[in-house]
Amino acid sequence: MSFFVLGQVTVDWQLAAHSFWPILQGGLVYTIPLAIISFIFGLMIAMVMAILRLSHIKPLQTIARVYISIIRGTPLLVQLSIIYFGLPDLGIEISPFLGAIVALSMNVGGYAAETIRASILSVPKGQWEAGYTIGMNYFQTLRRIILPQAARVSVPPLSNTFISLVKDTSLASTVTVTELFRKAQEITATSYDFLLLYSEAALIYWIFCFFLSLLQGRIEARLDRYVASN
Amino acid sequence: MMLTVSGIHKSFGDNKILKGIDFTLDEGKVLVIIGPSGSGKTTILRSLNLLEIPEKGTLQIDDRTIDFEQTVSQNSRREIRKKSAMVFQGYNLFPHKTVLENVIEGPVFVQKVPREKAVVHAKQLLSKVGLSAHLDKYPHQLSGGQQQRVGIARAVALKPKLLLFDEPTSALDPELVADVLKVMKDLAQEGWTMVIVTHELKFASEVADEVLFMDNGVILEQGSPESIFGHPRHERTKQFLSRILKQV
Repeated sequence: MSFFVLGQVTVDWQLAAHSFWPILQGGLVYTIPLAIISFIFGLMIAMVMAILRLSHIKPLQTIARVYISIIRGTPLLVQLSIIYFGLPDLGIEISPFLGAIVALSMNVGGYAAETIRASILSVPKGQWEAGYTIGMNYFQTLRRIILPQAARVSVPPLSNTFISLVKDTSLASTVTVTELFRKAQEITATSYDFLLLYSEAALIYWIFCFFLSLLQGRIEARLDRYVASN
Repeated sequence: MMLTVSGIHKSFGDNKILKGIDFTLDEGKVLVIIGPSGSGKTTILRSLNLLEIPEKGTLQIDDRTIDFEQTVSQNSRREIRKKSAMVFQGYNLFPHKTVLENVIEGPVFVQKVPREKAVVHAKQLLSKVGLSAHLDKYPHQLSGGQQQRVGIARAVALKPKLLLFDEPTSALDPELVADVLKVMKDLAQEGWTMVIVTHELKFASEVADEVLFMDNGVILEQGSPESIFGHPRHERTKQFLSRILKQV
């Protein structure tokens, strides 16, 4: 008795070749822009939340805590559905692409906030004092002195966030954004070759992420130039 | 008076660190603060640069006065902080900036001095502290003594009214101390107004115009180096001096 049947595996190479470009195109036109734009906005949200969390003013801390808690405590698919399918009930209608950007940005904002907060805290207190003693205020010291040093610490975890984000963009297929995975789905609708087409999609995601990890290594090496080698 | 400190009180939680500190300093004079660790000498120095905010008392530097019992606006904090610059025990150089960038950061970014002008000035200062060959190095490529001399150049580059030194040689290997003390002596001779917290008593006796001995949050004794080191009046001062001198 077996729970699966190994049939004859024949690969339809012609379909593989013909479908590769449309799927890749979905990746280049939607997946990558979606990931990059959401990451940039997400980092902005994360920076604001990290600064609120580090503030000495209790209500501001609370705002950030609640935001981070909600983002981390609910599934991205649900967040995306609320924004795209739910908000029209309040009269707010947005395009699928914009909806995906908003949901992904807010999601990155919640996760990266803690990364950024921890990396800011990892910079020694003396660096703040050195900034103050040469006449800088809080935000000048943060921008010129603290963040460049925090960046080195936060590159590996933020790279993970970005790589996760690239893969999470596949959820945008549920709100009809014709990104990489949805392209593959559309082709399966006529060819029914699920294994081939979804494997192809997986391969393209993997290639994207492979290049991203190469890029991560280069950024780390660049930021390492002022760190003692020991 | 360049500097007037009066009635300064500071606690950390229930711990009273400063219990009413008063002193003054004339322009161009060097004040050395000595005392056992935990006596509050670093806290009073840090208060002058507002790295600590006392609960009570007033601080006057140059033409600015601040009363710590009133709520102090960010603006007046910044104004009085600009009057002084701190040299830290742990150097606190910016590790992501070169030696030259460390020194010009304040002048260019905060004081809006044109970059070329700031670079010329910074190079002069760095040559004075013997670091002309290291302008483009990063702090981690320098020895502790070299780093501290960059720290001094960074403070001097701001042209503050008051130079503050918080145990500037305590983190250094003994053979590196002399170069740093030499730089500080030169600054004293140039007429900078300086407040120095140090355990280097020989240096203190050579460079100080005035010595404060602090113990347990108060100034126990105050006077010329000759009187404090030669004829200490308090038992605590005598004990402290003999203990330090025994180590040498």
